[in-house]
Amino acid sequence: MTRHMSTAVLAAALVAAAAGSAAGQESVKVGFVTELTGPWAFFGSSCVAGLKLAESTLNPAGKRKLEFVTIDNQTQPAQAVAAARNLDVQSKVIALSGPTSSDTALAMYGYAEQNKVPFVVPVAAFPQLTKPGTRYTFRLEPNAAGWGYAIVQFVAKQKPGAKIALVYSDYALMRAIAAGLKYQAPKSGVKIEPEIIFPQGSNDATVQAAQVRAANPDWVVVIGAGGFDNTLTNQLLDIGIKAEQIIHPFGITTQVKNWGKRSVGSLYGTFFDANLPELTAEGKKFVEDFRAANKRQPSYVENYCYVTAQVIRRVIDADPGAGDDREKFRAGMAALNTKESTSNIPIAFDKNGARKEYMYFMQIQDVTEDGYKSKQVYYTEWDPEVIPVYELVK
Amino acid sequence: MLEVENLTVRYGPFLAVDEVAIRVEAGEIVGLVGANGAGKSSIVKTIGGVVVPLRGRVDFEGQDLAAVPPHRRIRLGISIVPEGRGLFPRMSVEENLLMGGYSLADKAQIARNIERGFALFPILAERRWQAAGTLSGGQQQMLAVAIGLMSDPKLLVLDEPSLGLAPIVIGEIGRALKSLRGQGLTVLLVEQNAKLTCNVSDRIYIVANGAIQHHDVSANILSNREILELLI
Amino acid sequence: MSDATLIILLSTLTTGLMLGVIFSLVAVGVTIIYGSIWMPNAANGQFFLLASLFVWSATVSFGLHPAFAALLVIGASVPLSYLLEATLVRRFYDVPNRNISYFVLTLGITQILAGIFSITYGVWSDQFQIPPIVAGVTMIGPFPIANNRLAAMLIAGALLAALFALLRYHKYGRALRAVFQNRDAAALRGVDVRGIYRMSFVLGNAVVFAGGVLFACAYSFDLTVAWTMAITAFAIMIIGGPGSVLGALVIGIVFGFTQAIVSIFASPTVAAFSYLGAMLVILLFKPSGLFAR
Repeated sequence: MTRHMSTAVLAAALVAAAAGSAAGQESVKVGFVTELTGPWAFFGSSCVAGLKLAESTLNPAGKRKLEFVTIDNQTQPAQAVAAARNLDVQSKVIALSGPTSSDTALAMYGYAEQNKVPFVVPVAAFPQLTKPGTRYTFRLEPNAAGWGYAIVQFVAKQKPGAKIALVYSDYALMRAIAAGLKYQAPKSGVKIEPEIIFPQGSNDATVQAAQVRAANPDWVVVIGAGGFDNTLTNQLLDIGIKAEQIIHPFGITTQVKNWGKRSVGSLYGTFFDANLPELTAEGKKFVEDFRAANKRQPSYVENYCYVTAQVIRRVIDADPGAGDDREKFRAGMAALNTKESTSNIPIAFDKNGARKEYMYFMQIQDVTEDGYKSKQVYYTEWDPEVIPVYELVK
Repeated sequence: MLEVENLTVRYGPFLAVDEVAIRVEAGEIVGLVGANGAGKSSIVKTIGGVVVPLRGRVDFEGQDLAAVPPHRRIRLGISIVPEGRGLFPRMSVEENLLMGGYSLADKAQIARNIERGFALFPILAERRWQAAGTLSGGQQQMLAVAIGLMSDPKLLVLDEPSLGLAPIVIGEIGRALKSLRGQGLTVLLVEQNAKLTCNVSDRIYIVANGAIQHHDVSANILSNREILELLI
Repeated sequence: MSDATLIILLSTLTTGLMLGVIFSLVAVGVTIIYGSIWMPNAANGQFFLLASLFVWSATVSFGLHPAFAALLVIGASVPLSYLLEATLVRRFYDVPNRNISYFVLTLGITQILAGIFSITYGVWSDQFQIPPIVAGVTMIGPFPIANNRLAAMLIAGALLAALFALLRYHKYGRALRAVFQNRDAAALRGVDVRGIYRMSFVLGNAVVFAGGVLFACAYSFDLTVAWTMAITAFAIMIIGGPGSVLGALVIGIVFGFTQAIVSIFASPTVAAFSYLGAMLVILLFKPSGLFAR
């Protein structure tokens, strides 16, 4: 028994040593703490699906191996911090990444900034993740208050002096979008009426849809949470609001599919879409590979997680020392000046770790069994501090 | 009809019923008289099947009841009106009567039996739609007896029907029992009230400390001053 | 009256009814089980969600017609309830203070189901919508209402009426109420009390399932609906009086209308708090509930 075991241990050690010498160096580990269970499980799982596609091309021969250690945070901030600490202390990861929820991301943000661990946020839109003084956190997704700003820009361009109705669920993300929208609206001469906030757990909006219709707005900005988003949209359409009047700040595949054919003509904001004409060859391949693996087309969540992996690869490629030294990795992130491989949108971070922000507005053309068609109707980009986002949303 | 032999019931260390034997023949009204805590209710509960005896047996029409679950006994013809009346307080008088006939399948028979109950206690007909819980104590007891009769029982067991009732009501229930006996019903009347019991029953068992102390026909009991004093 | 006002009025009316019948169904299901076996079923929200998700799977994944899927799922609740009754619920029938045991048991079931949903449906989608039973829109005056919602509302109303009639006039329904009120006396009248326990567990769950199925027909939903429904059902049961089917029915409808009306004059947020506030007030002044025994 003992002899068998020692033989096995010896063999394992030999194999490990051989592998180590072949690669020349230990692999670089990045902790990917995301939502695989709990209320945000869909987004975390989608993100990991995007990451998986990136991983297949991430480690060509001759390059130092980059490895993502994925851990479930159960959509709980405390779990996210515990996982971050574990990865930092035990696994000695070079950087943290992964969250798709602002709540878990904010919890990890505190840990990362305090313990000087570089933190690359793929998808979490709450503005405070890049508040002034941020040093170790870098975020790919534009902040939510900025989305509100972009919506007003779009509306004001379509119809100066337009009137919009604003209906949203009472969640931090939705409040942040609304805050940006409400800040920018008077500056662009856009009127908001009515503004209706739904508490968490709402399930019917017929009465509010009737109130919206009575106010006769030009557009209705609809920001529901989860299943209620679709109920809200359906009930607005039921009561006679036209599909063309509805603007969704964001649209991921499940949402657009559930809005369905009756929403053809509606608008949604996004940061990556399978229907964008200017996708790169790699972007088109990403869409096809993702569709083949997951039976649906990817949206911005999956794209950001795919791109996050590549961004980390580039930082390590640019400075081999960045794989072993967190300060060097941080410096590499801060100095990064590259493009999203899928869409050629530039990636560069400002002093707070925020990107130069941008947003597409798409109009739904068709919704079918296995996907949807939409066309780009507007694109805008802005400096994240064009509106006081860090003051607007605390 | 009912034969109880060597019945012994024990609750933990407490011997509630000690080697009791009772016989009730068809068409009789038999009284089981004793003070509070004498063991009367334990005997009733054993007949109902709610309490499992330590020893002894209960036979009904020659059949051992040990294997018959409580809710099946009413179908054999045993109807028990429990102490506390066993009403459904938020149901109307009529619904209570319908529950009394739960074991019957024939709707016409149920309707007939309801009318019979109303004939026996006309006040119940007046209160037909009233919730049972809002009736007076006497009316509730009449309803309890009427419920007991709904299933067309062969044997009616009444546990403390006179408890807390005015003498005039007790008289009315006594009158009803006599008229039922005229129709051939067998009754086991379990009571503290010796006078009521002697007035309506053919035979009396006197129970104390869980055992039968005395057994005789009612006329003899009434003429026996010693026993009457024992009871009062 | 202007069209806009009339539309708001009619939307309030239909919303109140729609939410009211769903709330009533769930609360009645919960109260039937509580009244007979004293089980405060903390898992009712997860059962409700289970039904909604099964309908989604049956229609979206397996392509069944929604009406057929709805019947199938409600039917499936019967063997599932029997299984649960035979393996777990039955063991507590004679336990003193079994309501505490049941509460802990159902909390455990809640955790297990929530965990299962989160690693299955939670990963498959962030929102769930089933195809309409009946497509199109019906105009009530100037107010358009989706036929689908109208159908769900009518079916829920019919189910409530049928349930009420069953409990009021059918022999077994009466026996069930008799067990609620005096189980020993019911046994003496020939009622198989354990049989009624089993029947009420199965019936109560079937009603909760029906609520979940009709909710899925009328609304899109996500996994969070389990929690809001569980809280709402308990609030209704407490206000109406635990074990009172009539109380659950009436208060359920009142809740629906409260939500619809308060959200016009105040806001949807105030509406959501209004009935939880009502529950606290009732607990303070009439802890046994409005329709208590």
